[in-house]
Parts: sequence; structure tokens; C-alpha cells
Amino acid sequence: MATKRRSRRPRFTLLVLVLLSVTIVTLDYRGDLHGVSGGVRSLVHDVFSPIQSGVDAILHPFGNFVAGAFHYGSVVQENAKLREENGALRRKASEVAAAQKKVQQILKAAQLPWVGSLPEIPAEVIDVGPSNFELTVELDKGTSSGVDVGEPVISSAGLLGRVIQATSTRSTVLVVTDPRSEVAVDVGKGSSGVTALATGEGNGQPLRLQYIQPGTKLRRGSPVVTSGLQGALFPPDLPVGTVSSAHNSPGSLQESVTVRPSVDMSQLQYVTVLVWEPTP
Amino acid sequence: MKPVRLVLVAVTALTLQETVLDGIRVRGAHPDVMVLFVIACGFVAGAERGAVAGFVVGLLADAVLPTPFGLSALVFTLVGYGVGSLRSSGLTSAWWVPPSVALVASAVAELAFGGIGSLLDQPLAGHVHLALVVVVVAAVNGALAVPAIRVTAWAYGHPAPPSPVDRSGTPAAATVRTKTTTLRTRSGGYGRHTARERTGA
Repeated sequence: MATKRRSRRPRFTLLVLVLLSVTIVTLDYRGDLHGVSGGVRSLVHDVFSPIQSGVDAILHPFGNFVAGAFHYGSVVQENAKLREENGALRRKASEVAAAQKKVQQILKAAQLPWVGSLPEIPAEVIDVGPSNFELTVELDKGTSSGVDVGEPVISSAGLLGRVIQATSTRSTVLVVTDPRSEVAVDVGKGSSGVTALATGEGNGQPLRLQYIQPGTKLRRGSPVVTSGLQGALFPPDLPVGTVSSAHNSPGSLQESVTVRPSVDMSQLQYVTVLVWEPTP
Repeated sequence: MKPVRLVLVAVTALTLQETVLDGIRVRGAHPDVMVLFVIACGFVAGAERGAVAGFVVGLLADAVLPTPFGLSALVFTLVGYGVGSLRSSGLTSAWWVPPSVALVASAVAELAFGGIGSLLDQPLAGHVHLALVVVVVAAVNGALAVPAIRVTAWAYGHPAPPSPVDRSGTPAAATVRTKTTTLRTRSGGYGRHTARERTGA
């Protein structure tokens, strides 16, 4: 009798815990629990982030040192190359600054929104992809620094993604290559430009463009930028990538176009959060 | 059971996961020691406590992951229970048992995570990616199984890395010990480790 009761108890516990987890998942999925789960996440993040930062601060220099020692030759070479590039970019920047001033004056007169005038929050990437099942990065800035859910995040190369979670000191960015990410984009320039939707296909995969009419002529290497249409999730003219292939399969209702994202996930360190809200 | 030690080990595992292991990437997939800790709990403490540990550790993991809240709790509960009941259903105490159990259980856990996740509008980053995640997580957890079980046994206050309970066909050396502990277990408690602790071993 006693043994029987004992062997039943684990099963009962299992049943209770499974039902509890399923309830939590369901409520969270329906959105009924977002307040609570958000609160728990904030709490754990706030308690945990000092520990994480501390351990990171200890381990990062060590990792960098090891990596640096292994790649000393290439690091020196890269440094020289970067110096040269830096000089060239400085020159270009001063030229651009002058042009920018002019453009801003014109845009101001025309009363158009422009990315350059958006408030920016610089942030550091502290974790690339905490989950194996989502393409996200963690930033070291949260709501206390002004970062909010929905805001676009750019790196020096171009659009990285948008903020999907924000606690007081941390935020999570859904990267454009995640299959859940969709970005309204413009391909090509001027009158030949078309509007499309760029969806992610997973880590290391190019983006795929949706809703392009078959027969549309697109050149490889054409720039792809955010369109900023009414209600779009991103402001206009942020570089997303370049067209890497375009072909028309017979019978297909749309042109099959892939885009190489301009952001390099392996080189992420500093990014910028744009304080921007979609226009309704 | 030593609650303080368990919390300590859980927080250490989470810290390791968030700082070191998330940075180790094989084509985008990284190891997952949270599930290894749950497997070790099931292995050391049996089905019921394994399920409870899985639920608690799962909620902790859910708090730092962007995936749907409760998903890890669900998967880890099942894993902790599964490993716990596997252990009490007659595994031999051979050296290769813990690594193999950790390997298979980790693979099953990641598949379940991907499977249930995809039911919840959580598109996977391609099937190749899921296969890669399964391989990476299973391989690393298989390799780390023995130390993880040692640490978890310490956290539960169990004297040594436990050899599995065997109801039939126990090796001759183990039979005597099993007999005495089983006798003592009947006086109460639900594990031979509790019984061994009580004898003062």
C-alpha cells in the first residue's frame, strides 16, 4: 500500500507542474500575463545584470587577450588598414557634413521627418542570442536610458532590428534575420525603385523579399533601404542590405529576390537605438 | 536536500550560461547548461524532485530568455521527471550511463523546445539550425554530465555521485548495499540516499 502511494505521488506532482507550465505558457501567449512575466523578467534582469556585468568584465579581457595573442599578425595588419580607412572616412565625413547641413535645411523647409534628426541612444551589445531559438541580441541600455519597445536599432553598417523587450537596464533586439522579422523596404532608386517586404530566413541566411512583381528588373548589388511608409515599423532610408540574387521562376507570382544584410552579426559591439515611434 | 546549495548551483549555472556559454557558438548554436542541471537533478534526486527542479529552473531560464514565458518550465519539468524515472527503472551503474543519459535527454529537450515553440508561432531558424542546436547542446552536456552530477549531488547533500537503483540483476558488490538500504528505506523516506544519509554513511 505504502509503496503504491509513493509511486503515485511523483506522477501527481508531474501532472500538477505540467498543467501549471501549460497554463503559464497559454496565458503568456494570449497576452494576459505580459504584465506579470514582464515584471518577473525585469526583476531577474535587475538582480542578475550586476553579476553578469562583473563576470563579463573579468572574463572579457582574458578572452580578448587569448584571441589577440593568436591573431597578432593579422591584428597588426588590420590595424594599419583601419587607420588608412579611418583617414579616408574622416575626409569624406567632413564633406558629407557640409552636404548634410544643406539637406537638413531643405528638409526642414519641406517639413519631412529625417533619421539624422532623431534622438539617438548609444548602447553596447552584451550578449548575442541568449536563446538558441531566436535571433536576438541584448543591449546594456533599458527603459531607464530611454529605450522602449518598438524602437529601431542600427549599427554602423545599417539596420540591426527593433527592440522587442525592455527592462530598466537591459533590452532585447529582434534581428532582421530572425524569421519573425519583417521590414518594409525600397529596392533600387528613383523611378525604377519598388517597395517590398524583407523577411528573415535565419542566422547567416540572406533576407527574402516578398511581393515583387515577376519581371521586375533588379540589379545585383542594388541598395535596399527601409521605406518608411505610413505605419511602417522603421523610419525611412536606413540601409538594410544589398540585392544578392534575383530570378524569376516560371509560374511564380512573385520575383524571387534575396538580400545580403549589411549588418555583420559576428562584428557587433556598439549599436545605436533610435528614439522613434511608428507614425500611425 | 540543501536549499542554499541548490540555489547557489542554480545561480552559478545561470551566470555561466549568460556570460561564458552564450559566447561559445558553433555556427550560431550555443551550449545550454540549464537543461544539464535539470538532468542532473533528475538523475540524483529521482522523478518527483527532478520534475520540481525542472519547473523552478525552467522559470528561472524563462526569465532571462526572450522565448515564450513558461516554455522552458514545461520542457524542463518533463525532462527532470523523465530522467528521474529512467534512473529508478533499472539502469546499470556503468561509467557510460550518466553521459549517455545527459546526451539523449538534452537532445530530446531541445527537440521538444523547438517543437512546442513552433506550435506557439515561434518559427525556428530553419531545420538545419534545430539539428545543429540539438547536436551542440547534446554533445556539450554529454561531456559535462559527470561533473554536473557530482556538483548536483553535493547540492542535494547526497554523499557521492549515486549509482542508479537497480531492482533486478544488480552486480554482486552492489547487492549487499542495496539490500540494507532498501530495508532501511521502508521505515520512511523515498530514496535510498535519504536512507544512507540516515545511517550516517
